[in-house]
Amino acid sequence: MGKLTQPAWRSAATWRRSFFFTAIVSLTALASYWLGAKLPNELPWFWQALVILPFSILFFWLTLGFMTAVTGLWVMIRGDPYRIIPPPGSALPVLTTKQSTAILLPIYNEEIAYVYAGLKSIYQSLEQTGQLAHFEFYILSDSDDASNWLREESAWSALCRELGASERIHYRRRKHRTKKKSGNVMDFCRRWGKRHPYMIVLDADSLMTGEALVRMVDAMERHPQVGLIQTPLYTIGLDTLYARGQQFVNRLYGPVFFAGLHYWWLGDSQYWGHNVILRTQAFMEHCHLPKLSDRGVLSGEILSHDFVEAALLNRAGWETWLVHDLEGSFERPPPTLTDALKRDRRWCQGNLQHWLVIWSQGISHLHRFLLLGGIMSYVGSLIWLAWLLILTVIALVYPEFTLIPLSQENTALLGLTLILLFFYKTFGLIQALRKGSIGLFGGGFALARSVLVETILSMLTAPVRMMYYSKFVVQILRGKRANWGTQQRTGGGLSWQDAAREYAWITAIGLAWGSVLSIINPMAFLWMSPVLAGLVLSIPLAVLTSAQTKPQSSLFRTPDETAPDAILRAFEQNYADLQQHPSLSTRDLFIRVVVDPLALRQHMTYIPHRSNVPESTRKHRKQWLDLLLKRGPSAISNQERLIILEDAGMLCQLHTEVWQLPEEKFNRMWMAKL
Amino acid sequence: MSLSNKLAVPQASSSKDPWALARRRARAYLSLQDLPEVTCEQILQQAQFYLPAKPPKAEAEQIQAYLQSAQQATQLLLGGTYSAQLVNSANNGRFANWTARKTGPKVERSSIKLAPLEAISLRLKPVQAASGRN
Repeated sequence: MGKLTQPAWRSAATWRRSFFFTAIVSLTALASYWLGAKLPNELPWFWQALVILPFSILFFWLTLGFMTAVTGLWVMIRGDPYRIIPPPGSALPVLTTKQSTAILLPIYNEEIAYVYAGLKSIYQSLEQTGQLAHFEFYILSDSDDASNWLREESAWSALCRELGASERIHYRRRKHRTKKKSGNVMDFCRRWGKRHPYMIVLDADSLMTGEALVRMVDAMERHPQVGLIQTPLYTIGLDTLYARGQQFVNRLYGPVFFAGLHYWWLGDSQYWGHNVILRTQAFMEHCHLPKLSDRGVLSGEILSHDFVEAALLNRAGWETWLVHDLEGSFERPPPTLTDALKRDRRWCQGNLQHWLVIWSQGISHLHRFLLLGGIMSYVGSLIWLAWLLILTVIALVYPEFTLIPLSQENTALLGLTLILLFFYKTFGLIQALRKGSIGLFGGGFALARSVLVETILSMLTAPVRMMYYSKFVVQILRGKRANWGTQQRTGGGLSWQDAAREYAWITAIGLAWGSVLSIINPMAFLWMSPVLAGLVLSIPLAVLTSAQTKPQSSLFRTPDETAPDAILRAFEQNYADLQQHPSLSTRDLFIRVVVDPLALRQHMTYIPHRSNVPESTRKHRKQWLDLLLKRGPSAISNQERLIILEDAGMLCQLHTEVWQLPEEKFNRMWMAKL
Repeated sequence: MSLSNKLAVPQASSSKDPWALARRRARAYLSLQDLPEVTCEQILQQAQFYLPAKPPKAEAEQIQAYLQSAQQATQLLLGGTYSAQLVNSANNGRFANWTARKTGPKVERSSIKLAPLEAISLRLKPVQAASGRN
């Protein structure tokens, strides 16, 4: 494959985007015309406008998704000459890079066995390619829980010993945790950015095969104009009905959508935050995110940094690519609908902030549009809800009108909407047939059943998402901030009580809405019934989808379960091993570090030894030390423990004085809990 | 060997021994340092020679005195190994000759500028070209 010339893909991108958006706008205009043409003439014009305008906006984004699938199918059948990584199945390149590529694993109070099992599996996979020497790993911890921190240290040390990798796997914990993940990555860049021309950013639940990593580095080497390569993410590894549904959708329809995104993005790809390779110097020069200084509710640190970073790289002239058909890049889905909504609450806040970024100088129009797309993924729900409310008000105020009469235009509109909503599912099936992977989805019958069940579930959950997303948008615009904590990556089994507590308001709205409509305008009730059903059934839906499924179940079976990649098998084994590892014991490791001289010695190697602690600070900390000696390890808070653990002098003094405690106190408070 | 096993140290030989508690504590401390049991015993026996003739009255002082003696004994038996430093740390509350191990490669600090995100101005003025490859 020759070197990709910029003008070639640029002109293709212009042509493709012209076709793509012309088709979307045309379909939207046609659908809006069909809807508007048959609205009752007696309906005042402003009501007509309130029906048509939100509909047009919603239809535009619906068509965009459909056109992405159509163009994706086209790419998958015809292939695409514009690609920066050779097609799957080509020989694995041999890297000749002189400097190593950094693999970054930013973590924040994560389940350590899971994270380290992933890291170990990636390490082993790279080892199997014979090109491990070209990579170094950095665990970048922002954990602010004292026990988690100590466990991370302890498990890291054990992992290095086991793999003989102390020069290849590094651990750093930030003391000053600013700007969350983007700040953590930038902190790495500030310290070690010069050492590594490329960095691969992972998430705590990421898994990537050695082969995929090698191909990405090779592509960066061969295309010096490329600043970022994003891999397609496949969700794996969970057994709740909700998660398996997501995994199934991702595996069946994902390849088509990734190919479609590649079709119209080309070298202006978005960045999804992880499983990505970045050109370190380009990233350092252009992607250090400032605080949004506007004094409104969207101000502050940029929370969803990835979209912005891709836009900034593009602004600086670097290409950003999505390699739509690269295999071997995995992540975990949220285990339940409730967890997905919690994550969406954070993402919603981050995406809404992009409204301020869209208007920044020099951002390309495509990236402005992509940022707007991120906003619309949440604001679109509010528009949908508003539109349904408008229809409801009209149905109640003008019950004599048939808002959507059975005409030729409305039948066509209904048909078109159904095609846009559901027809893309056949593209996934076509692709599975072409690849001969029906068997990997559990066979024809199981696949059909999975598609049907998933369609019903997604129809029912869509109104629940609509309600939540609308609530999120309103909350954020009223200034309520999200808690940007650790993502829930495992679990399930939501109880009925918890579900009722969480979703009762949606059920109540659904019942009230449905009752009023059914009494005053039964026809409108029938039209609205798919949405109302989702609202009314939200509690059982949340409980049902949080249930664990049997691993051997054919429902939502994916190729990753039927014939898992070697790294997925290795991960399962590593995870099981690490869960049993003594370094991950649930005992209070603070006690161990204070008492055990070897643990203390190990910990002391990770912290800076400062001699310039002010006397007043020292006196203050001495009070905590006295409390610990008097009342034992639980006498101080997590934050105070963190400070003691970061103060080498204080920690040693505590160690000494604990060992000199009277027998009874020493045994009861410290040794018994060791 | 698990920590709890390590700490299952024998009781002092005699309850009338004024150093019993301090010896037990020193034994527990040494047992946590991955030293062979024989070596621990040797250190403890040797430590007795460095104890003051009259035991201090306070428990803490007794323990401190015994740990200090154990330190001297360790230095005599093992030279300047890390175990000696550990005993030293327990007594002095500081790691005298400690060198922190690197937890990452050598830091080569870079300074990084913030990306400008000024909003588009509707006034007619030349737009500053973004610095970069193009």
